[in-house]
Amino acid sequence: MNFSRRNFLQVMGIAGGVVALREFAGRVPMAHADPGASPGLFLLCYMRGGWDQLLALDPRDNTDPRFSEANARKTGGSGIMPAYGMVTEAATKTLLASNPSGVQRAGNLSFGPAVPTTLMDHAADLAILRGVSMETLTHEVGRRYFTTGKFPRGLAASGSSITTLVANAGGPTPLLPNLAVSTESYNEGLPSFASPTSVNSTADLQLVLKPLGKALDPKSADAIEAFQAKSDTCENHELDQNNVVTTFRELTKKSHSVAKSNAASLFQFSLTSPPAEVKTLFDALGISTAADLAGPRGRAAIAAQALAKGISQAVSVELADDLDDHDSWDTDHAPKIRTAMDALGRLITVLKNTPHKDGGSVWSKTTLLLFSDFARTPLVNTRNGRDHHLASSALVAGPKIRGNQVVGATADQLMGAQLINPGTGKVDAGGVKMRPADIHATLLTSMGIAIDPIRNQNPTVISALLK
Amino acid sequence: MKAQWFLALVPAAAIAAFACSGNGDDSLVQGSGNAPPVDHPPIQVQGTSASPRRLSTDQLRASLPIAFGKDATGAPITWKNGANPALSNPGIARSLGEPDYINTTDEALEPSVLYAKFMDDAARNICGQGLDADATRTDPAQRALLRHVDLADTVESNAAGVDANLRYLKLRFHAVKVADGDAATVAPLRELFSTVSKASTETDPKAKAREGWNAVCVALVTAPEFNLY
Repeated sequence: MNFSRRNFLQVMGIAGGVVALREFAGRVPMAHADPGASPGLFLLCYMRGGWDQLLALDPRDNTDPRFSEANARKTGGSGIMPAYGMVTEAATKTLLASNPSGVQRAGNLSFGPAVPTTLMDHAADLAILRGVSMETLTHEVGRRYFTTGKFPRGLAASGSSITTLVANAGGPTPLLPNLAVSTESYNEGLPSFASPTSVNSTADLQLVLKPLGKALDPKSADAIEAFQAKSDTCENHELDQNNVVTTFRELTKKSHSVAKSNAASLFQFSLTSPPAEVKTLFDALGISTAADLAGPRGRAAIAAQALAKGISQAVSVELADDLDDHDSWDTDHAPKIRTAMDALGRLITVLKNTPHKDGGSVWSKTTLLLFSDFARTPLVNTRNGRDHHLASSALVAGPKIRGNQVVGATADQLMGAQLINPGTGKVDAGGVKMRPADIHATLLTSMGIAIDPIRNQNPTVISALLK
Repeated sequence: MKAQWFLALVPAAAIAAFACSGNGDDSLVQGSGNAPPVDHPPIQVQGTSASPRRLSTDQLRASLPIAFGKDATGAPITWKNGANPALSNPGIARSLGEPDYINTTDEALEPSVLYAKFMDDAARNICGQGLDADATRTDPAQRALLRHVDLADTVESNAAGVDANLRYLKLRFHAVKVADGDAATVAPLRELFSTVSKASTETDPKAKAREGWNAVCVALVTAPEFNLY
């Protein structure tokens, strides 16, 4: 190619135009299908490391001969080994003593032996998604794919988190519209109020919500606020491209509201003499020790307060931090699944028992998505562990989500994802793969939020999930 | 010898051949090969420039000690939460969105409520430290904040000094040069200083003035001009 100055400028012009278009598209708040309606609340729960769905959301009958170790491992065998009998956890052993299959049923749902009754009690509201094609066995990729609904660019997340989309649709009114508790969360091109506030603990939240250091004398503080409100300098105008100065001043004003609110007291999670409301929350979540507070129950408590008290529109929370059991699955995995799902079940109960200011319960306004990086292999490896597996599962719920149903399936041989009819949710050889993008599109649609941000993933709305 | 002369002439001839000629050689004016001629019409290039953004956590960490100088012990003044540098607190850094280069590699540099809140916290703390340090320095030239006033000066007792100090602070914190004698530009800050000083319940004149300067300092550090560029 004869590379000339004309060619170079033309290429740069096209590239610049693409950048400009992308920037412009990203700056416009995403359309809400019904601008007057609130999208409701959103709870994104993450279990880190890749879960064994045989113990959780996609069990198999442990007494079925197809799934014995011998038949699972032989050539042409099922390739699926629930191996519930290998699990050393006491609660699983107790269950198997009275239910050798290890499969627990609640309504139309079936769960593995590590799922506690605290979560199964909500079966009427929950939909299990099976055979979710993760298309990756890399932790970061799976996590970011399910967080944003868009397949990552290499390891880098693509797009905004679903919590950011919901926070954007809900508007800037809540103190912390988008709260990320020990999770990743992203804002790509949406207004800054929708950006995640990332915390790992209530100590972080106290840093965020309470004024730090010595307060000013109230008269000083008022005088400074009056000065800030009236300030109108040439430099302000010069800097105010894209309204960044205007936005900064509005945010400064809002930060004073945050500091003056009593929101910090809602997260005073002290085990010794907690405030009465916090004590009630602790009792509901079974928090009585420092370990409880530092673990999934403590993080669930943060999520519960943030949603129940109107602090946040969308919360993402990590409920399990280390499921990547390539070895010692038999001793380690079930307790972590149980603890995480127990925390979730209790969290749902708290939300059900908390009235919402607009009527009904907070839970009646909440859409839920529970996911992990991917699943674990249906065969146990030589180190008593399970490795990474492409076909995963998920749990969803919401005011516009039809609960008490299972959508999708994995095959009884090798546990691969099966194609489904999105209209019925049933296996259909002529159907489509169910991917995180499709689940996101379905949840966003249920909340009345346009799916433009993930449209380049060509998502399919799984209408079987929608009420 | 003839060969040497010839070889010496070759570069000279080449230079002569490529030299701009005063009589408008057409091949040079019109360009050569595929290059557009010099009278080519403008090419519309669509592009974006970087829009104003807030200071990053790292920039704040670096700039606060420069803006506020050193304390009485000679240590650089920086925002402290308790006894520790606040911007080294992982919770604060994380909440501000500082990348950890494990999960995130970018810091969103748009203003946020959290950033504004933390800057308010930082301003209250660091302005107090700056004024405390200045109070130990008898030579105004060594002070970071009160360079043109005595510690107890008011608008009534030293209007010129107060205005000079306000102009100095505008330059120091906002890089805005206010002309000597321009009273209008610093009038809002003067009013802030005066209002807060007079409203102070302190009885010591130095303490009253200190509160006024503290308010001015906080207002300057939390202003868009300090935080956006």
